[in-house]
Amino acid sequence: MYNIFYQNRYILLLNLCLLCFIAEQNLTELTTSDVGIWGYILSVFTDHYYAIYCMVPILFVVIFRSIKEISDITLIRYKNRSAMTVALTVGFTRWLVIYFAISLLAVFLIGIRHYPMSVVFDKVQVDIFYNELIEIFNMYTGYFGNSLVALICAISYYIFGFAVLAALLIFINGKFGSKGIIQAVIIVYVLMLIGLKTNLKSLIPFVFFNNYIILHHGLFVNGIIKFIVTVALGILILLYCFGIRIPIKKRASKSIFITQREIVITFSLLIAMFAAEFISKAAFVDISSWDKVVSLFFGSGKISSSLISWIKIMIIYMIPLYIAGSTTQKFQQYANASVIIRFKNRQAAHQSLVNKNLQFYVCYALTIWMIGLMIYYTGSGVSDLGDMDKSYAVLGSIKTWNIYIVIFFINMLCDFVLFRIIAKCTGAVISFSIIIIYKYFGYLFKLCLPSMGYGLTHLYEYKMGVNSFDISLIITVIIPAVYFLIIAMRWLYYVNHTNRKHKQKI
Amino acid sequence: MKLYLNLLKRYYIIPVILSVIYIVLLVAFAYTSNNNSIILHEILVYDYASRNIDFFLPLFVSIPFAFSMYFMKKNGFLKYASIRSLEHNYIKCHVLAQLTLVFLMIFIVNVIGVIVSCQIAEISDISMDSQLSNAILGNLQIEHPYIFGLIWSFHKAFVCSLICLFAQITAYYIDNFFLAMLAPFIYLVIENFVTGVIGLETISFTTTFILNRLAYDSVNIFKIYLSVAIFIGVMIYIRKKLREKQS
Repeated sequence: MYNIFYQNRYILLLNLCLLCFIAEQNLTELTTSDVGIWGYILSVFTDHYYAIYCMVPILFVVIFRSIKEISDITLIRYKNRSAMTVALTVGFTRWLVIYFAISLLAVFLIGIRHYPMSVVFDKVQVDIFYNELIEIFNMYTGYFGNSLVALICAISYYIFGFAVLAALLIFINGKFGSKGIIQAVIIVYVLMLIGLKTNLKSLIPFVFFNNYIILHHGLFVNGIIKFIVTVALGILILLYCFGIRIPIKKRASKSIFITQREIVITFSLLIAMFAAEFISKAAFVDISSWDKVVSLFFGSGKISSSLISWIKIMIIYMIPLYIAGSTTQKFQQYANASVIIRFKNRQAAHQSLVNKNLQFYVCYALTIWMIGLMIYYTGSGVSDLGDMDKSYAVLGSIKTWNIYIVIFFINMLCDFVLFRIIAKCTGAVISFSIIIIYKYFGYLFKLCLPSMGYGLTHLYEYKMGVNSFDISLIITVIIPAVYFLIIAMRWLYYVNHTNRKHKQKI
Repeated sequence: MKLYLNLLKRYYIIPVILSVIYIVLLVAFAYTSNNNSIILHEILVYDYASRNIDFFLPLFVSIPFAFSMYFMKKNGFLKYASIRSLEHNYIKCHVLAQLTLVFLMIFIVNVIGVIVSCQIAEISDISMDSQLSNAILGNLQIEHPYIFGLIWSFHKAFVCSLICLFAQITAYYIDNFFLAMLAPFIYLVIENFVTGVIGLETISFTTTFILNRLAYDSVNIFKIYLSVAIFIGVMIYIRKKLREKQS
């Protein structure tokens, strides 16, 4: 602990000087207000500009330097890397407590000359001119009822946030080295600046680091539900970095056909689609977060035909189909690989492949459904439509979303079945291309075809009586149902007739 | 030179078949656009018709021309070919032959498409200002559509050759056949989406081969060739990474 102070003495001294400067500045701003000494210290530490532009970069440097010094030889002192992460995080947290204690003492010594040693329980009157410090102070005092308790909570939240960051960076150092830490630090800081400048910090709070350290950003601005989600995620990150994870049974077939890397890439792409939609519409403050989800899954129909909406929905449908194509290709490529012999026969391996794909599809649909639910219940619902077509309000209900997810899953399943049928004749690549071209012609000619990539607009247009969505949906349900029924019947037939000498076409 | 000509002779069937399909589709869409749209200038028939096909043009110019490279590498043909000539010479000739075939295919088809479109165009009597003069070579599009068609076909053929080159690189370096064949198309779709979302659609690579895709005055020749340069840069970067991974 002493080492950290000694190694970073100059930068911490700079931090102290800046803190004193800001404390003096706050003194002149709050001199007429009766905030008491604890209220004054609270106003200094809850200054988000000081936190983001001064404290965070300096602590980034301190953390980076401490982690960089950890050599691989240090690892032998611990049971494993997770134990080392725990020990280092706890050590750093203790250092943080001392750091904040020293900072608190410095500000206390500056403020005690002007303020009495009193705890303020009430809000302070706001002057004629807007004073951000008073506003924030009143927020804290109003919520916690007591300036001292508010100060303790604010400092504790800082320590929690930086502990999460330290654990994450130590974990990243173990996986990717110091290069990974630099990249992570840059990403975290840039996201934090974006969160500060835009209202994205309240739309997707868990992405922006300022919500993990600044209590009024995390709690007062975002609301209690988002605050709980953010804190829970912080705790999960800590547990993950400490090596405490839910054990997942790894099956051999999963690692051959659908690799961990592919799963990470596909789900990251899905999250990126959501993020891109939110970022692109961040400037439109009248649009609620649920409206952004609706616009992402809107698609293109007869009434509203848009290439970019069609591309968005098509990418979401194509992601799992890409997995199906990739696994089919891998199965053909490695058909004689030694891993395949773990299965009873090639047909069993093939069946396992289909099962893994279906599991992936279910997880994919469930993920989209849960993200939608989370955004719906943490957001402000659908925005006020004003003079717009009120029938669009049908898209604002959670019931429509639930129905749509079922239709989405059925469409994906139908895509998968069509892909497999066509791939038997033409190969995976041509099959994938044919399906894309089929969907494109559906968009081009504004048709409501079976399995054409349904968006929310098809539900809306069906309600308006514009399309024959019900007929195409029925066909979309029948195709995979018949396919899996035939497979099940064939499987049962061959299982029940294993004693006979049949030439099984494998 | 002899190897290059032999390779051209070996692979000419695929572009011939694709050209026939492409011309049929282009002419069909030209007739449809002519009947369903208000045509203020002759070139607009070709504009509306080609837009419908250009979405999956990357598939057209990548998969049929790149699969041979993939199987040549996978089957070990290149090792035997290196007995007769240097491996990188053979690959260079092969890639050059494929690019030539793509270039000729796209150029000829689009020239025919422009000629047919201008011949069948029925100019509407409605007096409307189409603002086409603000587009790239707008005055040339209006007054000399055939000359514009030649220039545009040449440019489009060049751009499609770049897509084919990208496909050749992915086919050579990536082991997964599915990914190798679809990588250029997936890249262009995602790039189109990302640039559309962040408001940089004017420098999207898709804008370089789809005529008048955006508002007429939003695109100019500098932006088109900037996006081509970005695409070439991305291609070089991907090749470098794939090469490092392979070695």
